Amino acid sequence: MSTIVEQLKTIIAEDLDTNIEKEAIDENVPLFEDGLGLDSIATVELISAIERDFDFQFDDSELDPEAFKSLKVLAELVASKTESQPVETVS
Amino acid sequence: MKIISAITNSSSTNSQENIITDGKLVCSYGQIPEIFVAIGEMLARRGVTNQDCVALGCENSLPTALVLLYLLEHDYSLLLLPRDNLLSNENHEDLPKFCHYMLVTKDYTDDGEVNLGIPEQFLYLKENPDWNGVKAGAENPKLYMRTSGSTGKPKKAMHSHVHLRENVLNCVERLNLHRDDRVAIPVPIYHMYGLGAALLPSVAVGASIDLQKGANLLRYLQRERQFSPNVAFMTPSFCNTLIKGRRGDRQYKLTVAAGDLIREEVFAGYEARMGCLVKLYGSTEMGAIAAASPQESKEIRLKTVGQPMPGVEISTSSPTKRYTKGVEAEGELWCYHKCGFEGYVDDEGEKVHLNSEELDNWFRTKDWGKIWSDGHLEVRGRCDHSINRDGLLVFFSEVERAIATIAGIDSVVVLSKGESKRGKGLVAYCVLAKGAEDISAEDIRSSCFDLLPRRAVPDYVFLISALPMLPNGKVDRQNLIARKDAVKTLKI
Repeated sequence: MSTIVEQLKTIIAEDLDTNIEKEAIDENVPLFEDGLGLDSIATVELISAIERDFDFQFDDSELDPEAFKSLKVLAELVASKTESQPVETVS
Repeated sequence: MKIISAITNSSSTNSQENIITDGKLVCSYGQIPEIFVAIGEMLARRGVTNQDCVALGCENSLPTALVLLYLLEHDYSLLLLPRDNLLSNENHEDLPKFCHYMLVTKDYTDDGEVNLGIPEQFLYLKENPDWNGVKAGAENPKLYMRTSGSTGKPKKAMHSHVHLRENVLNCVERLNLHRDDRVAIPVPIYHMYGLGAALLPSVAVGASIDLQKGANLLRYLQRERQFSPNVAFMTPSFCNTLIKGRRGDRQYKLTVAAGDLIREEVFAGYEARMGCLVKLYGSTEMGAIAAASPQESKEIRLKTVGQPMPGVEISTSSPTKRYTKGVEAEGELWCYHKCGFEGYVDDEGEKVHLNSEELDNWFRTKDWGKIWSDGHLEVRGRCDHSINRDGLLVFFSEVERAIATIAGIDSVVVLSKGESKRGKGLVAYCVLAKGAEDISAEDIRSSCFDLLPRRAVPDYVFLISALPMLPNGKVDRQNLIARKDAVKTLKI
């Protein structure tokens, strides 16, 4: 789980135009107001970057303020999504 | 203005059961008369009558909506201000002298119990220490609204309740709103769009309403699942956020977009995934000037803001050269609205005259547009968003439209900075789409040569990671004009 949190921090620091240093990101604070301060545009970018890096697609029902409450909570969702992916078999 | 009583006195039980909510609190239309009695008693205890002009601190919440509807229903003169402005400033600098009282709703937490029958629990009333002693008079009550200030210092526009009501009924008719509709309102109700086109028309038909505060993508999708709206009032930038952010498609009966120009590809993308989209055109001063009807063809809805509302006349260039019906015309749009505003007022409540913006009851919109021969209105952009180059006018919106067609461009804003050999300097700020990061400012500028006449090719192209936005959903052009960080400059 800590690796996913680290990957999410990298996305926010490097892919999003947030001007936030990776080291300054606290995985327990809210992503929006009173926290990292991500706006709608940054949120859309974050969703796309997670889908790209972790190779899955969110359902609209998962795009919920509760699931994005903090990076720690978000990492749990990402973990559950990547675990539930069907395992590809090589023939 | 009798809006609520027309619904609550109606024999239809459907509307009585319809609700207004803000996601935390909820009430049905059937409960509103009782809540109104309680609000009336609280105001009476404090000595407030409809002879007093009241400043109401507004947010998209159920308590605010109920107080606002009460004041309109009981013929109070009122000024709408953003709630946060009134609260954040202890000296209430925003509170003009003609307002005797200030009413602001209190904060309530997610799980906090609020009894809507006890207004003291949700409403805070304060007398204005600087009140100038002028009584409002209930025989011709007014609604005062501040202009957004995106083009200068905010002004206070004065409307009569009678005209506001006509404006509201125009929107009901044109947008074909119905009591079975479930309406999402994520745009602020202290602006004319949120109030006069969204909230009051929805209330007038007794539709269910979801007021959303500080809407962002995730909150909107959450509220959408809970409330199941079939009608939504959006800004163009929020339409864009929704189609980029949401993963599945969801059909609405109708979405209304207003407040800014909407790009053709955003319009087409939104409509393909979320259903019928109509553009509404209006202003704080005029209310709704024109709106497309959901019955019109997609082509018409894409290109135009529909036909002018009943009682509205549009002219190009100047009202002295009246537009002749049935003839296509293009120019600066002037508007005569039977139900438009009564003028601007100063802090004392006295009318102020701004000659440049009113002439013989005609209002200068400062927008450039085209009136089709069949009366449909096409709005091209702000007149002050144009410059003279090579002796001809160049509209920023036309340049933006052309640049937006270049593959890999997510969004673009064009404005004027400095001088160039062709006249005023023309500058484009571009945001690249995801995955198109290898496109350079040089590439964009050279593509412009194939798309635009030479005078309209920007002198400079800058790449930026995101456009600065104002709270009302418009691009913060002043911010871009003030930028001095022309780091990735390209000068040819």
